[in-house]
Amino acid sequence: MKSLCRTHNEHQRVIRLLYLVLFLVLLRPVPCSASEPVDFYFYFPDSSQVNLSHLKREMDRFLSQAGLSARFQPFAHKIDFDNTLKSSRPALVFLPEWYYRCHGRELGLIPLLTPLRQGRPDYTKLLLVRKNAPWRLADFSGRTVAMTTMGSDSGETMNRPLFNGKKVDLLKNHIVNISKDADAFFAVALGHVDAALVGRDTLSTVGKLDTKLVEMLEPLIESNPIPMPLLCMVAGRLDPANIELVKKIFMAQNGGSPSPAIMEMLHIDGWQTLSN
Amino acid sequence: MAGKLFPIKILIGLTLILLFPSAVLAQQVAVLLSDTEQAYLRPVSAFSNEIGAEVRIYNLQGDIHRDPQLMDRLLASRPGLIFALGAKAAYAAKLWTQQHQEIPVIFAMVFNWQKYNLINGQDNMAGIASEVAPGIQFLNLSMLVPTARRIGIIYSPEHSKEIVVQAREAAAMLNLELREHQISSPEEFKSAYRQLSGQVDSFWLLNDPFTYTVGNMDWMKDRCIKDRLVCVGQGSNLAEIGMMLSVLPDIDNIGTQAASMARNIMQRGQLPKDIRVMEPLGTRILLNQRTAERIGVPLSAQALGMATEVVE
Repeated sequence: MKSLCRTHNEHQRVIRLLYLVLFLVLLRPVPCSASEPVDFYFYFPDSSQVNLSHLKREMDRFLSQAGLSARFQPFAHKIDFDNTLKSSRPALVFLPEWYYRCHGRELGLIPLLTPLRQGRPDYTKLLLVRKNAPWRLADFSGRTVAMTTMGSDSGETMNRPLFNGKKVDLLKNHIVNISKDADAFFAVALGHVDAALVGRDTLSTVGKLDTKLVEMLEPLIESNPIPMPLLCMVAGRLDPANIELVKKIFMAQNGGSPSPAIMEMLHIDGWQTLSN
Repeated sequence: MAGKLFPIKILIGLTLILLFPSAVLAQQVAVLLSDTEQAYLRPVSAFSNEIGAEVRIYNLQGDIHRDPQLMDRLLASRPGLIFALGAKAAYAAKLWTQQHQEIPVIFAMVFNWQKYNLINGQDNMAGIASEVAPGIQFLNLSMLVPTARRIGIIYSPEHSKEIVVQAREAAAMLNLELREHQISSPEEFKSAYRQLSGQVDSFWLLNDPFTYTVGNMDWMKDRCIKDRLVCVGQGSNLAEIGMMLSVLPDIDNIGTQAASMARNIMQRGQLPKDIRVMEPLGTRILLNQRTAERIGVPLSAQALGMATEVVE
């Protein structure tokens, strides 16, 4: 009887061990091998490039020429990016720095690189009003401001970098979120909102197309520097060879000539590695 | 010590909930749908994602009288705000809050909202218009085609009087010249076009039932190319069938914009009567590159980058 029990227990132990091995096999991180395409998501609402099919075409061309097999997927709306990022874990993600601060840990994001614009890893936004607007910074409280979304309460996130040390509290304003910078620009030009918070980059792009439109507006204040977006990998989704390849591909653009179309499209002129 | 205080804190919390239920439930938001229209799904999803409060969804199923208990159930949940989608939902929300004007209402996706008298007489009503403002259309036109300064409009006063008034104001603000031609039936459209086409370098197409017919649009897309005129309008199919530019509301952004307005009301004390009806701020810009080439409009890389979609 005792030996039967022991045999039974041993069998149970073996079965448990097999289950454990199976469980660990199923749960192990699945790094993408060099041959299979890696999923690469992109979300940056402050970009003046809103033509996502052009962006995809240029990024696909750039990555394939550089030898990285990738499925590049840009997102226009935060809700789609949120849902897709949570449900299907990609290998690479290009996202705003504030998004990384809010969700980086829960999503297992590891920053690899940050782009540079005019040699800097940051950019600024301008608080624009119509030229004949009767309000100035001193009586700006209570005004409606259009800006790209930065989570559930843009004012709180943006208040620090924008007005730090400038005695203005964006939380006392009525923020209306939009999906792209250009919409905020048009809304203030036509008086649909009192002010728009837009990237300097968007102002320059619109200025190249329509100088009269830009002349209708004036900046009340320029923000303090806001970190550029981050190129992150998702923990366990990229093998070491591909991590090095990604870094090499983007870092090779520094000082290179001529810049690939994708870099010009995103107004990026270099990349910087990030130490973790 | 902290552990000993924990049950006391829970007891105080429960007592407060029992004594002041409205204070706790005030952060709930009700979404009221006119029906099960697919078009409402994405704005509701974006709204729910961004509002940062519990969202309960109620559906009129196409008829305000279909479920006699719906109003009672909605009001019993003591919503901090109602987001109403579609004309029936907007109308029901106004009616149901007549005696409960402490509940703010934001309506959206109501085509021709002025017709329903939604904001008159109730200070708790605010909304988002369903059509892109004429000024936004003109700005996109003049940004992509800076030479287009004279814009032709064919419209029926019966259907489009108000929007033409808005168009005049926007054109004056942007130093554009409007050339108008009134029609009283769809059959007059072609003749109106012929009279205007020599005087303008672009046409703005209204969602006017006398203008916007399949026959008229089909005819006009060929004429615009032949006469090398830029056409801009709101229908997404306009750029797809061959007109140069469509500027239409970004439906997803309606939910995001409504969530922002709701937060401004619920958290920052903005009054609905001070908001009233906002323009839909998010836009989708569809550009037909082939038509642009055929009518001789050069498009820079920056111009193409500003378009949400390029029809090639």
